[in-house]
Amino acid sequence: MSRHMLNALLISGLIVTGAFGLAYLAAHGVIADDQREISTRSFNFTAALILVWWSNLAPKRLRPLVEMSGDPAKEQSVRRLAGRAIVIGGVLSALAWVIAPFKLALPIEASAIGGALIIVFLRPFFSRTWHRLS
Amino acid sequence: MNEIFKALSDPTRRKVLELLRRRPMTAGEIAGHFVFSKPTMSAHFAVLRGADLVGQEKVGREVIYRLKMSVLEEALLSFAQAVGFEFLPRARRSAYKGKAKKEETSP
Repeated sequence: MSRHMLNALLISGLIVTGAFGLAYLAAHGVIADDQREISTRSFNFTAALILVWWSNLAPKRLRPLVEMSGDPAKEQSVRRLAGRAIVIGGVLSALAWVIAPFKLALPIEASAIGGALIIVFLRPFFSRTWHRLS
Repeated sequence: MNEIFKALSDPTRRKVLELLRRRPMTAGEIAGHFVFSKPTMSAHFAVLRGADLVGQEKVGREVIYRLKMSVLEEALLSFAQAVGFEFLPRARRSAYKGKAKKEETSP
């Protein structure tokens, strides 16, 4: 298993464990209702920062050219777009967990990261339309 | 971080990165866009590799260069492109211009 995959698994494991941990502590009354908001905010803020850090480095992780079946230029542009979109989505969601009202933070996070993923997955469509127009 | 700023402070290296933004290229293809000698280009490639902004891979007999920039580093490159020479010390700017002129006139 490559180092990058191991790091990805470790980070996602930490996020999932943290979420379950918070839920467990809240259910057992360890976290009081008035502390629930601050702990949820700080946990999600940290998770968003990890996402930003991780996607910032995504375009730097190059696969060897000999292992690539497709066009290396296309792969490079997808990685760059994905990195940029998810970094922006992550920054927006980190800000949402700090600034936005508690009830709105989750919908903002979902829209920011969901929007970034939609941009990445719809890239071939946008690319074709752009070529047709130009 | 210092190495990244050093690499981005030079317009030739920024142009190399701009070219690599389009697609991976061989050293010859990149050098074809410049009037500099081979050793000068090799020195620029060495600085870019040292800053971990480009990756190189040997495929057959050719060395292919690829962009290896994080999102933040790309943002810094765009900033450097927009600002141009303005954030470099004056002495360094004139030294670069003199060097480039000498390279262009030499056979």
